[in-house]
Formats: sequence, structure tokens, C-alpha cells
Amino acid sequence: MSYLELHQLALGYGKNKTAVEQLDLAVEQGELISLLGPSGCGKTTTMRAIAGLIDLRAGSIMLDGRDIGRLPPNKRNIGMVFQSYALFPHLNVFDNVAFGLRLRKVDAVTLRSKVERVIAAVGLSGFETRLPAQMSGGQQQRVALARAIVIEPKLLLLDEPLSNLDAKLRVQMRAELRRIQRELGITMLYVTHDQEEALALSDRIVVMNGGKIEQLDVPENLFNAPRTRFVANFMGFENLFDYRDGFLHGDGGKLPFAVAPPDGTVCAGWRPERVTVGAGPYNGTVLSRGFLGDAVEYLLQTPVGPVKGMAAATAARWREGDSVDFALPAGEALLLQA
Amino acid sequence: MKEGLFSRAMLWLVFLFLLGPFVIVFLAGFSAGDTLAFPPTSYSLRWIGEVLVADEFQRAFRTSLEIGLLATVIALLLGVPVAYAMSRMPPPGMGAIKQILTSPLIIPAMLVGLGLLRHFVLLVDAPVFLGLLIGHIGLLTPYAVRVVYASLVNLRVDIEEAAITLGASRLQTFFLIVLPNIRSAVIAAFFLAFVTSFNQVPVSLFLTGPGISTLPIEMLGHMENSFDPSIAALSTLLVLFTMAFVLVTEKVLGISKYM
Repeated sequence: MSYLELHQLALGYGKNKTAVEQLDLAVEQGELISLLGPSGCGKTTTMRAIAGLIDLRAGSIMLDGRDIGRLPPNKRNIGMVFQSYALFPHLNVFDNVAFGLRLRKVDAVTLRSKVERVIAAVGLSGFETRLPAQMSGGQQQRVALARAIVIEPKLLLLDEPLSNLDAKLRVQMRAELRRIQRELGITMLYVTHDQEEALALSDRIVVMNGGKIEQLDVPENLFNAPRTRFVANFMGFENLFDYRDGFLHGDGGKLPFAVAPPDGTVCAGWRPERVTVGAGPYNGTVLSRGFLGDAVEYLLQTPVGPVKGMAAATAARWREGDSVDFALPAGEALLLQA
Repeated sequence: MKEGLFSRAMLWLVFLFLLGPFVIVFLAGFSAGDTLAFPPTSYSLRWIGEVLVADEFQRAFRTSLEIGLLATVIALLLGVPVAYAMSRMPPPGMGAIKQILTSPLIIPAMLVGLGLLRHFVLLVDAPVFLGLLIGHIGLLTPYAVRVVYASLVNLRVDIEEAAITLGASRLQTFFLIVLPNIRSAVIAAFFLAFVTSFNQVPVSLFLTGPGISTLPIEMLGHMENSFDPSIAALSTLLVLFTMAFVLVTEKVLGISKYM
């Protein structure tokens, strides 16, 4: 039995709106697992259900061998970090962090040492008497994290915790989160819509779409071998075409595909950096170009619809409206059976 | 430069318009004469002293204070939970509920007074004080709900959720997290309600009875019978009392921190 198990989970809002129809998931102790998907895919709903903030329609949630699915949220001992940090505006850093321990009637000496230790762990020593409004987003984020981990939760839920930070800080906090997670050995469920973030942080990633799990895998497999069109597209295979009878189909037209793919192949996909612009068996018209430094990214109009490809910056002389050859290398293609 | 002069002149005109009448009352209150006149021919503290010792004013002042404080506290005890429920679990027909809660602010107080008179005095034969108190509570509760609701709508729900995931019950969350963050609104509602009650004439007019009168009603009655400067003196005292009230609460509770 796994540490956290969701069985046949069904979730929704109100009478009619279904968010998650039937979800099964198993998470091991000490694992950092991400729920990844676009907004409305059910990832946040799933997380809120685990926290107990919304009721289950059906199914069960097992945590550490105990069914917590019907426990009130304040009895679950699950920490949560909110997208907006949700710090208590009237309490200073120390009191924010101490809140959960005070409710647990921890004695004053233990409380002080625990709170100070966790504030130090997130690098905020000396900030104890600041109010949340006097701190930057990154600092508030650390307070939120400290507040959630000081109660030693069985599970830590993080709801897009880095999305309100600027890009540089986001990468820095990502590494820090990972370090804290390793040090404490805490099991984390991380919700995000940012695939780069999920890939960088997670032990495993659950890609969700329309309230269902599309694929559950380690980051490497997800990135290199997505199994559905949705995941492929999400992982950067932006050129996806139907495959039938030796041809790529799309947008009313078709292009011949050089090699015979395995039986059951219904779709072929390429990342833009695998599509070579400038030479190849196919021809298209430049719709737009974007300079990326070493390379130029081209959007081409082709018989199978728009194709995104790259050319080395030194050779990229084509402008909007020019006709240019390109290749979809068969050896580089991602072939999907579903 | 011209516009600066113009707006400054406008500012002073508005000040004059707002404060002018008060200056007249203020000066008249320090008159030494026997009748209300402006400007007074001579000044003294004679009438100030008279109203301070006058039995009927003391009694009415105490009634006003009792009714005002009791009605305000009860209106808040009713209004805060209502506002919380409205903001966190909007019931079906929310629009209608808001309308009903606003109606005492729109319906002429005269009407409310008459209705309450029929209800409490003629129909139920309730004691005067109780009728007056209930009338004021009914009048003040919408103020309390409105002010507190506006503040609750702006308070993020996720801080309550954070408190709950940290182990707080619903009740603990309300007292430890919600209430401290809507403190300024509750205090503002308190002031608004108390002053509304204290200055209330139309409703009180119908609900006061033998032996029990609020200060504004007592003053009204006094003015009908005698035209001496005591009302001006009393008004001056009331303004000073209100200012002291605000200053003290400001010192004790420090509301300006929240404004």
C-alpha cells in the first residue's frame, strides 16, 4: 500500500459541475509529485479535496494507512501553501508561523525553538517581527512554506506556489523547495501549470486534462516519450499530425511520410527544434519569424497546416512570404499510438 | 495659479456652509441672556451650567446612552454573523436579502416609527424602554451588516482556509483570523450605529412614552415650551461629548491605524 492513495475519486462543485470524474493515484512516502495541467483540468480541485476544503462525491483518500476522505480539514494534519501565500495580515512572521503550533497547545519553549528553527531553514532569521505587508513576494512565500511545514504535516500541498514570483526568483525558489523537501523527507504534492517547473522539481508528474489523468511518469519519460497528443503538445511537440496510409494529414492537405512507422501509429510529432528549415523534401511559405539568438524560429504555412521549425541564425535569410524548403526528419519523430 | 485660488475659495465656502450653523449654535450656547439670540449680547457659562444640572436632560441623556450602547452592541452581535454568512455562503436570493437589509436606509424613518408604534405599543403593549430598544436595534442592524459585509467581501477567503488546514476549527478561524482583520469595520459600524441611535428623532418620537425620553426628543419638547439658550448650550456640550468619544476610542483602539 502506498503512502497516499486516491481511489475512484469523484469531485465537483454544486449540483451539476463535475471537475474530476474518476481519479486513482498512488504516491510514495518522501516523494515530490506534481499535478500538471492547464487551468480547469481538475488539479487544484483534487488538491483541495485532499486538504478537505471540498467534499468528496465518491471515492476515498488513504493517507498513511488511514482513510481521511471524510475527516474535517482541521483534523487531517496536511500542510498547504497557497498561490497567494494567504498569510495572516494582522500577525507578524513569528506569529504566522507559530499559528499551527499554538492551536496544538505546544508549550512555549518548544514552540519558540521549533518556530525559530523553521524560520532559519527558509532563510528568514531576523524577520520575525515583520508584518506580511512589509515583505516581498519571495519572502512571503518562504513564510507560507515555514508556516505549513512547522506543524510537521503528513503531507504538504503546494498550489502554484511560485507563479506570483518573477522568473529569476522562481528558479531560485524551485531549488530551495527541492532542498527543503529532501532535508525534511516530506511528501509533497505540487500543483502547477508550468511544465518546465514540474520537470525541474518532480520525482514523478501527473499530467491532467479534463478531470482525468493523461499520463503519470518520471520527468524524463514524459518529456521524451509522451503517450498522448495532449501530453505531447504540453511537452513541446508543437507540430502534431495525423498519420494514415503513409501520409501525414492535416488542414485538408497531406504530405508523404518517408518511412513506414510501427503498426497502430496514428500520429507523428516534432518539436520545433527538430524541424529543419532551409532544406528538405517539403516546401512551405514563411508566415512569421522570430530571432532567438543562435537560431531563428519560423512559422511556415504548409499543405498540412502551420509548421514551426528552426534554422541556424547564420543561414536564416528567409523573410515573411518567402518560399522555403523544410524537413520533418522521420528519425526524430515522436510516434503516437493513441 | 488662478485655479488654485478658486479651489481654495471653494474649500472655505464649503467649510463655512458646513460649520457656519454650528458656530451660531456654539456662540448662542454661551449666551448670558434669557432668550435664544444671535449674536448674544453678552457671554457666560450660565446656560451650560443650567443644562448640566437639569434633571430632565440628565435622565434623557442617560436613556439615550443606554439605548444607544445596548442597541449598537446587539445590532453588531446580530449584524456581524449575518454579514459573515452573506459573504461566505451567499444564500439563494442574495439580491433580495441585500435589498431588505438596505430598506431601513431608504424607507422614511417616520414610517418605521409609526409601524413600530402600532406593533409594540398598541398591539403588544410592550414596556416603553423595550419598544424603544427593539426599534433602535431594527434600525441599526442594517448599518452594521452593510459596513461589516463590505469589509468581509474584501477579506481573502484563502487565509481562512490556511487557518483551517493549520488545525483551526471554524469558530477559532472566525475569532483568531477573521475578526482581527475586520476590526476597523466593526469599530466603524459601532460608531455609525451609535451616532445614528443617539441622534435618532423620527423613530424615537413614536416610541418614547411617559417618563422615558431620549435626549433629542427631550430637547425637541423643551424647545416647544421655552425659547431659552439651553438647547444651544446642550448642543454645544453634545458636540464636545462626541468629539471626546471619538478621541478616546481613537486613543484606546487606535482606529486610524486601520484607515
